[in-house]
Amino acid sequence: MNKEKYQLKIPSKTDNLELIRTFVSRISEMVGFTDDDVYKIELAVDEACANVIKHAYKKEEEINLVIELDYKKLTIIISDQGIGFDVNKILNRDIKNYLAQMKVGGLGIHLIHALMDEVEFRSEPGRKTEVKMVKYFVKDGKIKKSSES
Amino acid sequence: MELEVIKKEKFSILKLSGDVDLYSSPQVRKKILSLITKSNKNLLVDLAEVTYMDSSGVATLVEALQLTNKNSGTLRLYSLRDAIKDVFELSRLDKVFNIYENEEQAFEGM
Repeated sequence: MNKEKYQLKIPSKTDNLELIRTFVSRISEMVGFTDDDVYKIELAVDEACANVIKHAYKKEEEINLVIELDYKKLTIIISDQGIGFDVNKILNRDIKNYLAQMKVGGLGIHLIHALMDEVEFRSEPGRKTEVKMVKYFVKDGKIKKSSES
Repeated sequence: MELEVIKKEKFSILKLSGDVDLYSSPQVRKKILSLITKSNKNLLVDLAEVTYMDSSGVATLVEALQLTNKNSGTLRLYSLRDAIKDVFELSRLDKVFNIYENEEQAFEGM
Protein backbone atom coordinates (compact mmCIF):
# COMPACT_ATOMS: atom_id res chain seq x y z
CA MET A 1 0.00 0.00 0.00
CA ASN A 2 1.34 3.45 -0.91
CA LYS A 3 0.98 6.10 1.75
CA GLU A 4 -2.59 7.41 1.73
CA LYS A 5 -3.81 10.47 3.59
CA TYR A 6 -7.30 11.51 4.73
CA GLN A 7 -8.08 14.80 6.42
CA LEU A 8 -11.01 16.23 8.37
CA LYS A 9 -11.21 19.84 9.53
CA ILE A 10 -14.20 20.28 11.78
CA PRO A 11 -15.58 22.82 14.30
CA SER A 12 -14.69 21.93 17.90
CA LYS A 13 -18.17 21.22 19.28
CA THR A 14 -19.56 18.18 21.06
CA ASP A 15 -22.30 17.51 18.50
CA ASN A 16 -19.54 16.78 15.94
CA LEU A 17 -18.04 13.92 17.95
CA GLU A 18 -20.34 11.34 16.35
CA LEU A 19 -19.32 12.55 12.88
CA ILE A 20 -15.63 12.34 13.83
CA ARG A 21 -16.14 8.78 15.12
CA THR A 22 -17.92 7.77 11.92
CA PHE A 23 -15.09 9.20 9.77
CA VAL A 24 -12.44 7.33 11.76
CA SER A 25 -14.32 4.04 12.11
CA ARG A 26 -15.20 3.85 8.39
CA ILE A 27 -11.55 4.24 7.38
CA SER A 28 -10.42 1.76 10.05
CA GLU A 29 -13.01 -0.78 8.83
CA MET A 30 -12.05 -0.15 5.21
CA VAL A 31 -8.42 -1.09 5.84
CA GLY A 32 -9.46 -4.26 7.62
CA PHE A 33 -9.07 -3.73 11.37
CA THR A 34 -11.10 -6.07 13.58
CA ASP A 35 -14.30 -4.72 15.18
CA ASP A 36 -12.48 -4.64 18.52
CA ASP A 37 -9.65 -2.51 17.12
CA VAL A 38 -12.06 -0.23 15.22
CA TYR A 39 -13.81 0.48 18.54
CA LYS A 40 -10.48 1.18 20.26
CA ILE A 41 -9.33 3.58 17.51
CA GLU A 42 -12.72 5.32 17.52
CA LEU A 43 -12.62 5.75 21.31
CA ALA A 44 -9.02 7.01 21.35
CA VAL A 45 -9.82 9.64 18.70
CA ASP A 46 -13.03 10.63 20.51
CA GLU A 47 -11.11 11.13 23.76
CA ALA A 48 -8.46 13.28 22.06
CA CYS A 49 -11.08 15.43 20.30
CA ALA A 50 -13.17 15.71 23.48
CA ASN A 51 -10.04 17.05 25.24
CA VAL A 52 -9.67 19.72 22.54
CA ILE A 53 -13.35 20.70 22.89
CA LYS A 54 -13.23 20.80 26.70
CA HIS A 55 -9.82 22.34 27.33
CA ALA A 56 -8.07 23.82 24.28
CA TYR A 57 -10.27 26.74 23.34
CA LYS A 58 -12.45 29.29 25.11
CA LYS A 59 -14.89 29.25 22.19
CA GLU A 60 -15.63 27.10 19.17
CA GLU A 61 -12.58 26.78 16.91
CA GLU A 62 -11.25 24.04 14.66
CA ILE A 63 -9.99 20.51 15.15
CA ASN A 64 -7.67 19.18 12.48
CA LEU A 65 -7.62 15.41 12.07
CA VAL A 66 -5.27 13.61 9.69
CA ILE A 67 -5.20 9.86 9.05
CA GLU A 68 -2.19 8.37 7.28
CA LEU A 69 -2.08 4.80 6.07
CA ASP A 70 0.92 2.78 4.99
CA TYR A 71 1.47 -0.93 4.57
CA LYS A 72 2.00 -1.62 8.27
CA LYS A 73 0.09 0.96 10.29
CA LEU A 74 -2.62 3.58 10.66
CA THR A 75 -1.44 6.90 12.08
CA ILE A 76 -3.83 9.57 13.37
CA ILE A 77 -2.71 13.12 14.12
CA ILE A 78 -5.12 15.46 15.93
CA SER A 79 -4.06 19.06 16.33
CA ASP A 80 -5.37 22.37 17.61
CA GLN A 81 -4.09 25.90 18.21
CA GLY A 82 -5.44 26.15 21.74
CA ILE A 83 -3.94 26.77 25.18
CA GLY A 84 -2.01 23.47 25.33
CA PHE A 85 -1.26 21.40 28.42
CA ASP A 86 1.47 19.52 30.24
CA VAL A 87 0.74 15.86 29.52
CA ASN A 88 3.45 14.69 31.96
CA LYS A 89 1.49 16.15 34.87
CA ILE A 90 -1.35 13.79 34.01
CA LEU A 91 0.78 10.79 33.12
CA ASN A 92 2.88 11.07 36.27
CA ARG A 93 -0.15 10.69 38.51
CA ASP A 94 -0.45 7.46 40.45
CA ILE A 95 -3.45 6.46 38.36
CA LYS A 96 -4.40 3.43 40.47
CA ASN A 97 -4.52 5.48 43.65
CA TYR A 98 -6.13 8.39 41.81
CA LEU A 99 -8.97 6.26 40.44
CA ALA A 100 -9.38 4.48 43.78
CA GLN A 101 -10.36 7.90 45.09
CA MET A 102 -12.87 8.07 42.22
CA LYS A 103 -11.18 11.06 40.60
CA VAL A 104 -11.55 10.90 36.83
CA GLY A 105 -9.88 14.05 35.47
CA GLY A 106 -7.30 13.00 32.87
CA LEU A 107 -8.94 9.61 32.39
CA GLY A 108 -9.24 10.27 28.64
CA ILE A 109 -5.45 10.53 28.22
CA HIS A 110 -4.89 7.28 30.11
CA LEU A 111 -7.48 5.60 27.90
CA ILE A 112 -5.75 6.84 24.73
CA HIS A 113 -2.47 5.27 25.91
CA ALA A 114 -4.22 2.00 26.78
CA LEU A 115 -6.10 1.82 23.46
CA MET A 116 -3.37 2.59 20.93
CA ASP A 117 0.02 0.98 20.18
CA GLU A 118 1.97 4.28 20.22
CA VAL A 119 0.97 7.71 21.49
CA GLU A 120 2.93 10.95 21.40
CA PHE A 121 1.87 14.38 22.68
CA ARG A 122 3.49 17.66 21.66
CA SER A 123 2.33 20.97 23.02
CA GLU A 124 3.42 24.53 22.28
CA PRO A 125 0.76 26.50 24.16
CA GLY A 126 -1.10 28.97 21.94
CA ARG A 127 0.65 27.71 18.79
CA LYS A 128 0.03 24.04 18.33
CA THR A 129 -0.90 21.01 20.38
CA GLU A 130 -0.71 17.68 18.65
CA VAL A 131 -1.44 14.11 19.58
CA LYS A 132 -0.11 11.42 17.28
CA MET A 133 -1.40 7.88 17.74
CA VAL A 134 -0.55 4.69 15.90
CA LYS A 135 -2.26 1.32 15.48
CA TYR A 136 -0.33 -1.43 13.71
CA PHE A 137 -1.93 -3.94 11.36
CA VAL A 138 0.57 -6.48 12.63
CA LYS A 139 1.66 -6.54 16.25
CA ASP A 140 4.30 -8.92 17.65
CA GLY A 141 4.29 -10.83 14.39
CA LYS A 142 0.53 -11.45 14.62
CA ILE A 143 -1.76 -10.17 11.87
CA LYS A 144 -4.60 -8.14 13.36
CA LYS A 145 -6.53 -7.32 10.21
CA SER A 146 -9.95 -9.00 10.23
CA SER A 147 -9.80 -9.78 6.49
CA GLU A 148 -6.67 -11.85 7.05
CA SER A 149 -7.54 -13.52 10.37
CA MET B 1 -28.84 8.63 23.03
CA GLU B 2 -32.14 7.87 24.70
CA LEU B 3 -33.05 7.31 28.33
CA GLU B 4 -36.01 5.78 30.09
CA VAL B 5 -36.78 5.76 33.81
CA ILE B 6 -38.78 3.16 35.71
CA LYS B 7 -39.52 3.99 39.33
CA LYS B 8 -40.04 1.18 41.82
CA GLU B 9 -40.83 1.45 45.51
CA LYS B 10 -37.24 1.07 46.74
CA PHE B 11 -35.20 1.95 43.67
CA SER B 12 -35.16 3.51 40.22
CA ILE B 13 -34.08 1.91 36.96
CA LEU B 14 -32.38 4.04 34.33
CA LYS B 15 -32.27 2.42 30.89
CA LEU B 16 -29.79 4.06 28.54
CA SER B 17 -29.45 3.42 24.83
CA GLY B 18 -27.21 4.61 22.00
CA ASP B 19 -23.97 6.57 22.39
CA VAL B 20 -23.00 8.11 25.72
CA ASP B 21 -20.31 10.69 24.90
CA LEU B 22 -19.35 14.25 25.78
CA TYR B 23 -22.40 15.48 23.86
CA SER B 24 -25.00 13.27 25.56
CA SER B 25 -23.51 12.63 29.02
CA PRO B 26 -24.73 16.00 30.47
CA GLN B 27 -28.29 14.77 29.80
CA VAL B 28 -27.54 11.50 31.63
CA ARG B 29 -25.94 13.42 34.51
CA LYS B 30 -28.98 15.69 34.86
CA LYS B 31 -31.33 12.69 34.97
CA ILE B 32 -29.19 10.82 37.51
CA LEU B 33 -28.97 13.85 39.81
CA SER B 34 -32.78 14.12 39.75
CA LEU B 35 -33.24 10.40 40.47
CA ILE B 36 -30.92 9.92 43.44
CA THR B 37 -32.56 11.50 46.46
CA LYS B 38 -32.56 10.77 50.20
CA SER B 39 -35.92 9.00 49.86
CA ASN B 40 -34.98 7.11 46.68
CA LYS B 41 -31.26 6.45 47.01
CA ASN B 42 -30.86 3.23 45.03
CA LEU B 43 -30.25 3.29 41.28
CA LEU B 44 -29.93 0.46 38.78
CA VAL B 45 -28.54 1.37 35.37
CA ASP B 46 -29.37 -0.87 32.41
CA LEU B 47 -26.60 -0.51 29.81
CA ALA B 48 -27.75 -3.30 27.45
CA GLU B 49 -28.54 -0.91 24.62
CA VAL B 50 -25.53 1.37 25.08
CA THR B 51 -23.41 0.95 21.96
CA TYR B 52 -20.67 3.42 22.81
CA MET B 53 -19.33 5.07 25.98
CA ASP B 54 -16.36 7.39 26.44
CA SER B 55 -14.67 8.70 29.60
CA SER B 56 -17.31 11.41 30.08
CA GLY B 57 -19.95 8.65 30.36
CA VAL B 58 -17.77 6.75 32.81
CA ALA B 59 -17.18 9.98 34.79
CA THR B 60 -20.95 10.56 34.96
CA LEU B 61 -21.46 7.09 36.44
CA VAL B 62 -18.61 7.72 38.91
CA GLU B 63 -20.47 10.84 40.04
CA ALA B 64 -23.65 8.75 40.41
CA LEU B 65 -21.71 6.25 42.54
CA GLN B 66 -20.36 9.02 44.77
CA LEU B 67 -23.88 10.38 45.20
CA THR B 68 -25.43 7.03 46.09
CA ASN B 69 -22.56 6.34 48.52
CA LYS B 70 -23.13 9.73 50.14
CA ASN B 71 -26.81 8.89 50.64
CA SER B 72 -25.97 5.36 51.89
CA GLY B 73 -27.62 3.97 48.78
CA THR B 74 -26.64 1.51 46.06
CA LEU B 75 -25.67 1.87 42.41
CA ARG B 76 -25.69 -1.21 40.20
CA LEU B 77 -24.80 -1.43 36.52
CA TYR B 78 -25.93 -4.36 34.41
CA SER B 79 -26.01 -5.96 30.95
CA LEU B 80 -22.87 -4.24 29.65
CA ARG B 81 -21.76 -5.16 26.13
CA ASP B 82 -18.17 -6.38 25.84
CA ALA B 83 -16.93 -3.11 24.31
CA ILE B 84 -18.42 -1.13 27.22
CA LYS B 85 -16.98 -3.58 29.78
CA ASP B 86 -13.58 -2.98 28.17
CA VAL B 87 -13.89 0.78 28.76
CA PHE B 88 -14.47 0.14 32.49
CA GLU B 89 -11.58 -2.33 32.63
CA LEU B 90 -9.19 -0.03 30.76
CA SER B 91 -10.26 2.80 33.10
CA ARG B 92 -9.46 0.44 36.01
CA LEU B 93 -12.88 1.22 37.42
CA ASP B 94 -14.45 -2.21 36.89
CA LYS B 95 -13.69 -3.13 40.51
CA VAL B 96 -15.07 0.16 41.85
CA PHE B 97 -18.58 -0.44 40.47
CA ASN B 98 -21.07 -3.19 41.21
CA ILE B 99 -21.44 -4.69 37.73
CA TYR B 100 -23.91 -7.52 37.02
CA GLU B 101 -24.33 -9.75 33.99
CA ASN B 102 -28.09 -9.31 33.67
CA GLU B 103 -31.23 -7.73 35.12
CA GLU B 104 -32.10 -10.78 37.24
CA GLN B 105 -28.74 -10.72 39.03
CA ALA B 106 -28.82 -6.95 39.44
CA PHE B 107 -32.28 -7.05 41.05
CA GLU B 108 -31.28 -9.68 43.59
CA GLY B 109 -31.58 -8.40 47.16
CA MET B 110 -32.92 -5.00 46.15
